[in-house]
Amino acid sequence: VSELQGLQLRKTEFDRRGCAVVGISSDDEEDAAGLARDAALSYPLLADPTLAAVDAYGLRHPHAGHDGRDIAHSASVLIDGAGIVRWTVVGDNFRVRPTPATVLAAVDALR
Amino acid sequence: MLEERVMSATSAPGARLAAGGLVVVIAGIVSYFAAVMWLPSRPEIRNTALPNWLIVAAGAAMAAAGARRAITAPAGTRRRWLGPTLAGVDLALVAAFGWLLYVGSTVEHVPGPAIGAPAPDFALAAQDGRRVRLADFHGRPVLLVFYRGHW
Repeated sequence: VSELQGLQLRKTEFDRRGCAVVGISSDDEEDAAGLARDAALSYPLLADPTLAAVDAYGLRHPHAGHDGRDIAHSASVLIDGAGIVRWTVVGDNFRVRPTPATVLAAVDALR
Repeated sequence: MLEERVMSATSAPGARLAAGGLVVVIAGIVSYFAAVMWLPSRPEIRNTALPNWLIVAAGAAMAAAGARRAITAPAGTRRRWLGPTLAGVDLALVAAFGWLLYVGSTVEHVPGPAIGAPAPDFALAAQDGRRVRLADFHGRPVLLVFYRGHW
């Protein structure tokens, strides 16, 4: 959750660059909405319980959920205005995530 | 009373130091998880655990000094085993912390989406019930953050 909260704290800097922030979780809609509320997120947190988007991006992590469910790998994907993938970080260690500063630098590098 | 005090001074050499080291190591480990939970503004702590490792290292040094004091105490000193035992517990905790950070949290590598490829569209419900599509953001950059959820 700290990753989503960390992005929320720097949200105005994404706004200033015209960059949208969208979270995607393999939780169901109720869980995702609860998480978005607890973390006070102002950006969309999308529920992908069927892992449709997670699969489309090749990020399914089989049996990694607490109850043996499939979940998403932690990943950050930066897409430009033309809909092209321009920068990605897929974690090999789910504890380590790109910091907002790193992501903002990647957004700046799009231009 | 006086005899007891003399006894305690000469028994369990280094144990107090090793126990203090144990407390410091535990503080270092607990402070890491506290930072992950409550300091979202400091993601570098979550990523590196650097301040927490410094605390843990200080505790381990105390434990090592305690163990050394016990080992170098004269043979036959009462409860000479206590200091090194506490230092051993300490070492086990340090190892467990390292395992958790660098082994237990690693996952199989997947490449994710290819750079330069068109990003797949999706239509998913947001927290307010609104359906969001990637195409909604056409013309501006979008950061997608895949979150593990359910775990």
